[in-house]
Amino acid sequence: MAGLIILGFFLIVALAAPLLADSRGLSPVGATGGVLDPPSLDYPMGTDDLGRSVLTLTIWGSRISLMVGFFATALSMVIGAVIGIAAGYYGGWRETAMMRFTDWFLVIPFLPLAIVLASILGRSLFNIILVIGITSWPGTARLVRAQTLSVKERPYVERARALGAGDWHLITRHILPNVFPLIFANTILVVAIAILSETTLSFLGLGDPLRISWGTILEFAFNGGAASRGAWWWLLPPGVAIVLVVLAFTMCGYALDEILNPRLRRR
Amino acid sequence: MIAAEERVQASVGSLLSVRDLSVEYPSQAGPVPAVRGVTFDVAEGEILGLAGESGCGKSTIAHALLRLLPPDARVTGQVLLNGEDVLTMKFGRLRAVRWDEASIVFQGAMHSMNPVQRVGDQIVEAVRLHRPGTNDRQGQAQVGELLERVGLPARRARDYPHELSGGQRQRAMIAMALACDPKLLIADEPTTALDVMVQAQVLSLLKELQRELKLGLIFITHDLSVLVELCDRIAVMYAGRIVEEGPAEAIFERPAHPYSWGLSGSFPRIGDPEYRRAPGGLPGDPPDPQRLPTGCPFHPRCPRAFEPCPDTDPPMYPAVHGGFAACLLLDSKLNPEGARA
Amino acid sequence: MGARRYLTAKVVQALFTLAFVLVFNFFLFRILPGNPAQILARQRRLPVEAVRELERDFGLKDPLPQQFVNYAGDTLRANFGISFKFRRPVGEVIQGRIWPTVLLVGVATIGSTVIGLLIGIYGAWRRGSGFDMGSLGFSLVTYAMPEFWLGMILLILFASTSGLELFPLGNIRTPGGPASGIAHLLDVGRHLFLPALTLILALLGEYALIMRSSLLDVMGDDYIVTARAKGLREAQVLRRHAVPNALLPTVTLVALNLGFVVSGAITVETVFSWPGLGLLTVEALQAPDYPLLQGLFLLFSVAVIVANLIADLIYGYLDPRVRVA
Repeated sequence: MAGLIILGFFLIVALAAPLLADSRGLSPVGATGGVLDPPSLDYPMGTDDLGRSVLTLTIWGSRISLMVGFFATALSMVIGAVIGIAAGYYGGWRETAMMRFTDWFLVIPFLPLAIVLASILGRSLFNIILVIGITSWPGTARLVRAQTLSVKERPYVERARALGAGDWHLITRHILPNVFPLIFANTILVVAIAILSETTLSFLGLGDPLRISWGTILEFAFNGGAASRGAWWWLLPPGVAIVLVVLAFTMCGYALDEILNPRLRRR
Repeated sequence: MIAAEERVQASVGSLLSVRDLSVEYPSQAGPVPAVRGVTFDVAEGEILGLAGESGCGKSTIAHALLRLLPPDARVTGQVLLNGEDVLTMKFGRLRAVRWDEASIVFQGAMHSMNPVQRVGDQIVEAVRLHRPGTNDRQGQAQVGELLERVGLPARRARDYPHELSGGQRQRAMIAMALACDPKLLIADEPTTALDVMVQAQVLSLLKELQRELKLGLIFITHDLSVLVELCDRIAVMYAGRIVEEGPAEAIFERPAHPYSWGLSGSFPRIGDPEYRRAPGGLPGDPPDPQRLPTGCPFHPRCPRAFEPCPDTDPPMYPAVHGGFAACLLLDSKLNPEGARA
Repeated sequence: MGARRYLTAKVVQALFTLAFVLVFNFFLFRILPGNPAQILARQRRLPVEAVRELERDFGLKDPLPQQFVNYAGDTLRANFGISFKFRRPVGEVIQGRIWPTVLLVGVATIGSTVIGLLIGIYGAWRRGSGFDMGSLGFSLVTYAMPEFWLGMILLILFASTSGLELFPLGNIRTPGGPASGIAHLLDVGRHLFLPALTLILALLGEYALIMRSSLLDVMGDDYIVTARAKGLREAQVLRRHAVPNALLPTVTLVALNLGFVVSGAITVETVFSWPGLGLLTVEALQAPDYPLLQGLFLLFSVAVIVANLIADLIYGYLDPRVRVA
């Protein structure tokens, strides 16, 4: 399980950030290095154009990137699960309306919508989470609805209904426990997408400028001309971190999907 | 085992002779035997019926005859087609033999034809492959002839498979199988998905074509009654093995193997509560090929099982109908009352 | 006859989606906390008259239904308002920037589709081989990679002074360079190379994965056994039967994706200062230029809808079963 090991590593780095790197190194005032120094013994991953250690930035950036990833995913899951379960459970015109809405939402291109939302709501961490959350739920909603439909037809649910169980009881006691494994596997895949989305939005200057994430490091690097000045050490650490974390989440997601949905394992 | 040797002798000069054919599929829990030492012959112009429940290995045999099994299947034995061993021939020779000397009408023509190609194009493809000189006009003409021969109008060549009905599709599939004038036709449950009327039509078409073209025909089905009308000889398969073989009518009228009684619907059911629950057929399920019962693999389901059955895997014994059956009831030492079933 | 009904159904579906996007676009810019005019006024500290003018431009004084009727009418007449930043009609501004994006996305889509399909076909054919494993790994890594980061890395390697300096750092042509003829085309080509390569690499893996799994699916179908039984070579089975069938879902997905690639070009155009719609979006975002942003958002949404429709039509054309059903 290479994916789990990578994830564990980055979680520990994020949690232990204060032990690994001095947070004073994040502010331009506390920066001690030279401008755009290549990697050296003092600065293993070089410095940025303000003299900050890129390693320190990357370590602290993992906190914000992972946090945004988790919270945005949680929000997206809640919306997707509520709509999916409600549509699948109630059926009829309500289902039609909700699924139409979901299909329409799937058509709206994510990045432009996120840009528009973020530009109207303003630059903040909370808004980034909100924007990613409300643009990434339709896929989950469709999955959850399909699963709800199949669970709803199972004999014990029918029996519980015949015995007079209410909607709330049926949903929380019967539907949710059966839909949950699917939601969970899907969640892990959505985290990967959410982290990539955070990176992209931050890169476009929609993130919180005061909180360092891997995306904002890349934004600074781009605006600071890292590419044209050949400052590869400014780009590589956050970029590689993103690739590793997203890859790890994707791998775990697929692995979990295979365990939870053995039907897919055939081929 | 004297009987088996006699049968080997009898095979010289036949169109197809299969010797000790075995097929194993790999699985995580070790190799799974699907076919276990099957031996039979088909003479020119002869119809052999291969009967058995699903999972008994009959379809695997059909695929093995032209080496169409997935590459990880382990196939041993001999498949002599006109004296050449299909299993060991070079791949180039195999491609030339396929469809030209023996062709297959697959189970369920719905999926056996390419859904995005016109029926005619799929037939022409086979013709062109084996008769490289054929030009467009000749190809078209031949397709028209073939379709008309199976009772379809020539214009159907321009249809896609989904535009034909089930029976028409199966006819088109037969036309395709005849495209290169093969000597041997293997029909793998060709009528299974069809309703009874259409089934009868397709059967009589096959029989007519077989007589006209003097085809050797292997007809595979789970329905013994279909075989009686059609076939010269019948081989009954159980758990990857032929358990009874002989003249068609004799096997249907006086089956020697208890499994064949079940297949032909002549199980003694009266008085036995166990069989009342499974009217008109066999009780229980076919065995899991990975965990075959010891001794005779049929003994757990056999109404006539006796002491030696769980321990002794029966060889072939001559049966009263002139064929052979693998049942210890026929062993005069173990069952002195004789082979009176 | 079946074909016409299929076509009609798909077009009607697309029109409904379009209507939804119109409504959504309308509310997006009006319902959210603080309407555009207010935000703009706050950010720019505009005098009261200017805010009034803005509100009139947006028609924000009218009742909501009236506003919607005006907006829908304007949009259908291709009147998207005046860009704050460029002081010209939004339609005009967008028109001037459309072709670079079409060029970039077109080249990237063709390149990534062709290469991706070939990789996918070969991977499926030699399933489990070193090539297959390698291409799977490559696909997963490029999927996990932000495309703008890849673009910057390519810039360092091939364009920066510390790299090979083979290609320009950005823009679509050399300022003051040749404006016509072969020299001009070569110049554009040299500028196009890196952004197109970035997008191709970013898309390639996904297309290869789709083609591979689609082909593996098809290879298990019964008609493939029939084709082998006829005596076709393995390569012929693949070319004549397996690949055409496996292409159906893949081509559809590529077409579906097209609409999203257009908006995905936003970051790549930014990295390479490629003067297309993506860069324009970022410019509109930084201004902020709401009429322009609204126009662009509508355009991107329409691109997805059109791509959806194209995908449906391609599928209908390629698969005879749909044509009749």
